[in-house]
Amino acid sequence: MRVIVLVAIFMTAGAVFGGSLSMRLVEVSNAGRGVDSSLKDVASALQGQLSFNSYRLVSSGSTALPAGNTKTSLSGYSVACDGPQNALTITILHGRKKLVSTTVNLRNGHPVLLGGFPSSGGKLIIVFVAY
Amino acid sequence: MKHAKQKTVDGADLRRRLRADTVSVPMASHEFWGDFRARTQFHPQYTQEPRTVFNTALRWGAAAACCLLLVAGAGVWNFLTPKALSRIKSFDVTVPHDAVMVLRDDDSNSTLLWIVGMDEAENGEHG
Repeated sequence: MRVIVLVAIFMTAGAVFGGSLSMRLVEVSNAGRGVDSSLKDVASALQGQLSFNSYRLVSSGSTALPAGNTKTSLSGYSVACDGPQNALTITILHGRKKLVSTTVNLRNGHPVLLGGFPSSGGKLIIVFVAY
Repeated sequence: MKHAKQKTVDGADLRRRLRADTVSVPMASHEFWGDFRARTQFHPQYTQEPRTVFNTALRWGAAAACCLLLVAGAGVWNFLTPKALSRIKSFDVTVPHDAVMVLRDDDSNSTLLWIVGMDEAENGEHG
């Protein structure tokens, strides 16, 4: 009985307090070489999924989870997040133009890369990691 | 097997013996209860050990074994079940594009949504 109560308390606490969502705008290109030191934790994801030579952090931000229609600016791009971690709706705008909207089930520490946005030097992607 | 040696007595002898025996006089009431109350003050009083299947050492051993079993079970479960990655449930690309790729990489536990040939200059359709 005590175990059930403790589990219920932990689950309730987890649902109430939630976590956070880190988002980083990264420019990938074949000009130059290497991964920014600030991207070390997602380097394997970037290099495993993409075949560029250079991964440079452009901007970063974060928001709390579950998100309540929060907006985060990332160097000209705007990221709107709404919903719980297992059904988070992410909308990306460039200026006032909506580019893409997606609903994701985010696992803690398992990155989601959303990209292909044009950039002068290569491509831009946004890396989402829930903690 | 040895049998106790029995002594036979006749009736007259039995009556004589019974008359000769002195019957012990019971303790007086106040003496008996005084003695009884004094005994109740003895410490510790005798208490019967509860009958249990496991003694303390065995119970601790059983508890430790259960904990080890739980940890081992969790490890096996974690090893056998596939890792759940973050998942793209749906997407909608609202600018012109050529294709959309959704890729999952088990080695890095990551999920990629890559939009190919995106043209931000114009409004497009869903992907």
